[in-house]
Amino acid sequence: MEAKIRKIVIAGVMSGITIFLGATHLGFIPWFSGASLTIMQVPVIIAAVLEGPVVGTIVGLIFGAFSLFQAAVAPTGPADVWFVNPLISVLPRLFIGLTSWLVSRAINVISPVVAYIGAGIAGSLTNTVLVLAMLGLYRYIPWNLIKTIAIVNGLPEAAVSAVLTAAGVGLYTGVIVRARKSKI
Amino acid sequence: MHKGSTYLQIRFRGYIPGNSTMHWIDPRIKLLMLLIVIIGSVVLNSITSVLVLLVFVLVLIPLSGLKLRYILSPLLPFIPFLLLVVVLRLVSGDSGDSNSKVIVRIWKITITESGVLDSILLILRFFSIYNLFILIVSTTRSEDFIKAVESLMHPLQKLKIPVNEFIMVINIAIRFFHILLKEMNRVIKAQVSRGADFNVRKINFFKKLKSMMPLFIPLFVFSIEYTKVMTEVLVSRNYRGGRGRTYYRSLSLIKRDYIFMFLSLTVLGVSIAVKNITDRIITGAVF
Repeated sequence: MEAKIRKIVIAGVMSGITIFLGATHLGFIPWFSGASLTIMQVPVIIAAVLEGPVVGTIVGLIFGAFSLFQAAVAPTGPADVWFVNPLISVLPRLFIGLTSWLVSRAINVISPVVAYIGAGIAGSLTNTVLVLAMLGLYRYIPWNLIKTIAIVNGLPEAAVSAVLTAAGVGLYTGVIVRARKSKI
Repeated sequence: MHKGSTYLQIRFRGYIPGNSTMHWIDPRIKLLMLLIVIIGSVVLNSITSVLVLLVFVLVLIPLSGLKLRYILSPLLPFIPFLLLVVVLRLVSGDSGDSNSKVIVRIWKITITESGVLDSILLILRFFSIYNLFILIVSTTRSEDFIKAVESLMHPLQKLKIPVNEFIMVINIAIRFFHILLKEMNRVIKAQVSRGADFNVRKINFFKKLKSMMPLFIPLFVFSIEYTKVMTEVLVSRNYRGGRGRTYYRSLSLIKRDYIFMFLSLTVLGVSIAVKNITDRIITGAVF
């Protein structure tokens, strides 16, 4: 029972972090392409790596539902007009947990830290690629522009989320303990 | 991030206490309305149907006691984005739908009938979902809304889907969000007093990321501690899902709720019925 309760609590806490990052706009890092980088997928990836694909999918569902809610209640950019459609805001986010868990399990035999980094990259790319593919299927953005956005926004997003996932999961599992000594 | 006493601010509107009809409708009926409007406007994919749903939402506004200005004022700075979205949709080319009528052709850009229809649909869908969300968020307490979700998902429990556990996840998430907001404001103040600079305007990406690290590490450490405490609390109280759980206040439907349920189901029926009254009439009227 304790393992199950731990899963519930981790899912709740990670969803809380996702909501926190979105609601305070802390999860959006301004980027010079105009659209900001988002790191809201990081808690989803962490949950998936720590507790498996089901928990990852649940956190992804809450992430998607919250981004639908936020796009409808407090729109701030052109993307929010598209994101009031659950097929664009909720559906792609359900797969983040699955892919990042698969990648982390596959690499885990080599080294756990590399596995976390790989999971961060895989989860973030899943988010970018699937959301942009849905926008392309609805023909809201021309396909040429989508390729550019995927490279200009997707790659730095993957890098940031790799760093944060490694830091987050490392702190949870105790793999990364020692940091550099303070300069002061 | 803002300068001032609190650094982190929430950017959306919350519950407004009141005594209107919309406040008193059962949250389950409100959730049903939300589902009908969201799924209806996405699945039906037809201008006339979404128009019916939009009219339904607009009728609900006077019943909520909210001023129309309050609902529409956040959209004013948003209008340029709406125009941008429409332009993007119009120029993005309709390779998938080659037999739709071409309206204008300038240089390499062709504007087709299906492009115009899609952008009208996009904006109508946005407006109907936006208005209903604002209405429901400002007239429903979040705990009532979660209770409604649990009540509507209850039949799924027979399929062995752990509904109560899922509701527990949502409850923990919302509770933790408020705790985190308070805690992170303290962390930011502490880090700023030690010389951290969170308002970096530099383009240098790694510097920006590095400046965020003093915030993210405490966030993760705090959530680890919270996870441990919360797990222990639940274990020590012998949490075992929702079996045999009772509530202090339980939801019950009265006559008014049934009227609104009937009304929203009728609206869904009408919007399905008018789906086939073709959208071409509308474009014919415009062009």
